[in-house]
Amino acid sequence: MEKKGFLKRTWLPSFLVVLALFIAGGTWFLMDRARYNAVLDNLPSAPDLSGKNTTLTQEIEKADREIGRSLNVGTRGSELGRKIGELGRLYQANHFYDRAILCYELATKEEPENPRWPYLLAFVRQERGESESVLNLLEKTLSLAPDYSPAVLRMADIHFKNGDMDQAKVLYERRLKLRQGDPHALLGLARIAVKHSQWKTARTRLQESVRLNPEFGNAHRLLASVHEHDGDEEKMRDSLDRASKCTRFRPAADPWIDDLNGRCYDVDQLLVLGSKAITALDIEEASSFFGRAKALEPGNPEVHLALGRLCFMVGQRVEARGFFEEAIRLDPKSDEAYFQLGVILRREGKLNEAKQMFLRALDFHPDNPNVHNNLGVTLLEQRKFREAVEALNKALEIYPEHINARYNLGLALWSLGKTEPAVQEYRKILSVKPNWAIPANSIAWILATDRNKKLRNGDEAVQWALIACKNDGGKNPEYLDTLAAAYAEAGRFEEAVRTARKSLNLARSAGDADLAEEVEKRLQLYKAKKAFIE
Amino acid sequence: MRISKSTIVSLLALLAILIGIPLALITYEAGRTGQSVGEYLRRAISKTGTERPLKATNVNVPGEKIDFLERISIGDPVGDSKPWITHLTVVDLDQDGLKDIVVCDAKRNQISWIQQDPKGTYHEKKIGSQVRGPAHVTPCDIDKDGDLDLLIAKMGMIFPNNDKIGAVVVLENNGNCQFINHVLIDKIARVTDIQPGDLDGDGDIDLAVGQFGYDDGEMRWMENKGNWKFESHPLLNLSGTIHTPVRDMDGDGDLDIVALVSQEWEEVYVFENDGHGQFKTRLIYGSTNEDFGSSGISVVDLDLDGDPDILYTNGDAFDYIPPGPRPWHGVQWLENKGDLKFQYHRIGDFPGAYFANAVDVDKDGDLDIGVVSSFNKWDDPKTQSMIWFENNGKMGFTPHDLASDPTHLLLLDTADMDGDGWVDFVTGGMHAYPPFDRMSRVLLWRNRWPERKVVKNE
Repeated sequence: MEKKGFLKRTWLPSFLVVLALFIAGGTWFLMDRARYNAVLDNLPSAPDLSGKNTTLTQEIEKADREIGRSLNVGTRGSELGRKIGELGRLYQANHFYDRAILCYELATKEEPENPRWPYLLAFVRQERGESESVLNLLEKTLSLAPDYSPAVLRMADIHFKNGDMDQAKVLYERRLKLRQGDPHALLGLARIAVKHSQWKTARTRLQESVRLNPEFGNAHRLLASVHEHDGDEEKMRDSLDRASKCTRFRPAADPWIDDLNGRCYDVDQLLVLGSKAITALDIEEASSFFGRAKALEPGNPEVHLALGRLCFMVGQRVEARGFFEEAIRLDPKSDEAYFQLGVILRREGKLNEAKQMFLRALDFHPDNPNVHNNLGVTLLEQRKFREAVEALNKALEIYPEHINARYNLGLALWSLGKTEPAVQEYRKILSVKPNWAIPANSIAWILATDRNKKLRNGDEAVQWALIACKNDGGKNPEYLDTLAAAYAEAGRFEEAVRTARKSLNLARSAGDADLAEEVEKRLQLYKAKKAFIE
Repeated sequence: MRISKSTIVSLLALLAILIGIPLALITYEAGRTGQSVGEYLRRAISKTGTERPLKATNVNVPGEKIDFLERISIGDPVGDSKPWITHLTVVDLDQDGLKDIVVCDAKRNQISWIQQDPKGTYHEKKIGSQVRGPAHVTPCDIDKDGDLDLLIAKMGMIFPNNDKIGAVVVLENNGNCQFINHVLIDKIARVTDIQPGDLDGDGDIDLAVGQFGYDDGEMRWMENKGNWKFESHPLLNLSGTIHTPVRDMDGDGDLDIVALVSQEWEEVYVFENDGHGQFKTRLIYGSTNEDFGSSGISVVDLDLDGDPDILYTNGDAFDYIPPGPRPWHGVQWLENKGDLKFQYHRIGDFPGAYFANAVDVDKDGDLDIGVVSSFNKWDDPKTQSMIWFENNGKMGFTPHDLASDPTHLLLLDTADMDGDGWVDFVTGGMHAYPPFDRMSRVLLWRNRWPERKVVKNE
């Protein structure tokens, strides 16, 4: 009876407890399923990877599988978000941008405390030209990682490009606090100052930028504009000259973005990354990208060409030669590989072999002016001047503005004793590039020393010789020798003697005995108030 | 057993809590994840699967291919050379009522005229003397003698070069379509565009000149002083200017200059004119992607709201080896919001997008967009070189395939060439890098929309 009474008393609460547990469990199950399905619905499918290398395919499949496994074992939240974000990075690094966007959107939801995901999402969108949505994402990034200075710089740049100078200025200054002397922030502030006609501020910012980062060409270039505005032509030229010696523009370092390159398995993209690194003269990085490309696709001739060019650039001729030969083996119609190999052989003094390589390159690409020019130079070195003139004329027929070919043509004509047409060629070059030291020196030499009296012009020779010397810092004994000859032809023997002595000293200290001997002989002539005639 | 009223109330309350809490949780979670409750519940009870279709993000889902263009090669054939058509424009040069095409051929270093005479028959002839590296041609009666002269932007060399080898050249028409070259200025950074307009309000035609240069470029306007004399006024000291259209952008009655500056700048400027040739520089858009690849702009009232907008492509990829498509290449427009404020709208992705032209392809009253590509994955024969974005009338765009052959299309102009009331396309090919198996010089693509065929997407 008592037991029955107990049951009667307790069935309802027990039932309610069971019901509550059932409802709680059911709710949890449904919510988990909803979340699971939401992730699956929004997680991008793997892209079409046919034709892609196996490493890329494997990496994507691995990351994708890993997410599936995590979902199945009930992993949710930050850990899942991190894995989805990692897949997004893989997609971004290999240029599957749509998929990267979907991954980052999911990762941001699953792991909202990680600043990388909104930042990387911002980056992909910004690459496509968007700015408004990018600003929101960057703000979110900075709320999570206030000291991540690349995000500050990116925001500043976007505000600048949207014409919001006040906000841009605040952010560039914030960037400067985080990264003292940052050239990009200083450039941004200088551009804002120029926009507001605050020339003094712009000058100060730019001078600081080039003082701290002498290799930052854009600052030199803008500084040239500021000097131009000030009417200071000499400083303007100096800034432009310095800019021309700098590497091309390189974006500011950004660890979260630069880190993506390590996840790139796309050979074309690795070649582009290497090419960008070369532009920035970062040989080590270029070598790393090309090396990875080779490991991924050892049979790709483009990879061997890239490696060959890089090795040649840093003076590793033997290695370069190996890469070009391999490129030819892989693609026997590669005109570029024949051309590059020809250049190496010429440098090694194997002129006949070089010539054959250039001719082979022309079989496949007959209108490449660079090949004709190099063929011309090879023939010049073989002292086959008439054939050289022919090849160089061909280069100029294809590209009349090819000033190297024109200079070489001048040299070939001069070697044939055709000094007048040679002078004409040099004049054409100098009308376009008046400060180029090499043709300036060549024309000065002819005008100072040619047997044809009608062609000689001492005053003009001095002008060109001075340009040549100035552009080489006045320390080239050959150019000083020319200047001395020009002074002598102009009847300025005292200056000729002084300059010849300077040339002689420099030639001796450089160990150039032949030149020293020549200059010594000429010096005696100048002392005797005689000009030197060839 | 009798259950009291209070027990029933308690039970109901308890049940309400037991059901209400989960419902509240579900509603909250649905809202938090941006779904409706129905959508959320559907997800909760649906079977889990592995199929995960890729949803479009900001990329347009391709529409079906509509076959409506008839391809006709016009002008000189491709021959043995690899054509370098750097610019072309449709114009009735001899003013005989038939549309012709003027072409910059950088391989031949020559401007040529593809004359339509008689209707439907095209002949190509060289005009003027050679111009090295011609980059752009703009017809304009610069001397106001009633015939069309040609403004030629001379780069000197198409590929990167920092030397001062550019020039502003005018091919003066003697009235019989015989042309004489006048060099207005030379030995300047490589010139990429020249656009005419009375910029100082004195009644003659001045010029807006874009100079790409390489490391050092600039922009200037050239004031017409009469008798073929022009005075230069600098506007901008940046390298990379590609296009400089002239238009009244702020509706104040004078002509402003728009400029697209590529290289690492990737910016669009409006030089706001005070009507007397004094310009205020306004940066209206810029991409912070230094490799954005800005390739072209044109000024057009795209949304037909009465003010000029800017149609803009980014698809240049010659800076780094190997040249090829980038995932951010595509087409966008900058909507004129008044007071020289512009809003960016992405139209769609298109690798290597080089030039876009707004045109009502299907005569449905809105402007669609034709686009050509110069840098795409040409090794794949299915890779598109020309597409069009169909406007749904609400500035929503759907891309449709047009052509995969020929490759390397740099230029697109549109006009009703045959007078049938439908706008035709004219394209130019620039084959500077391989493959060279699907080349073209100048092609006319006749619009045969009434006879169109829908091709199912594969």
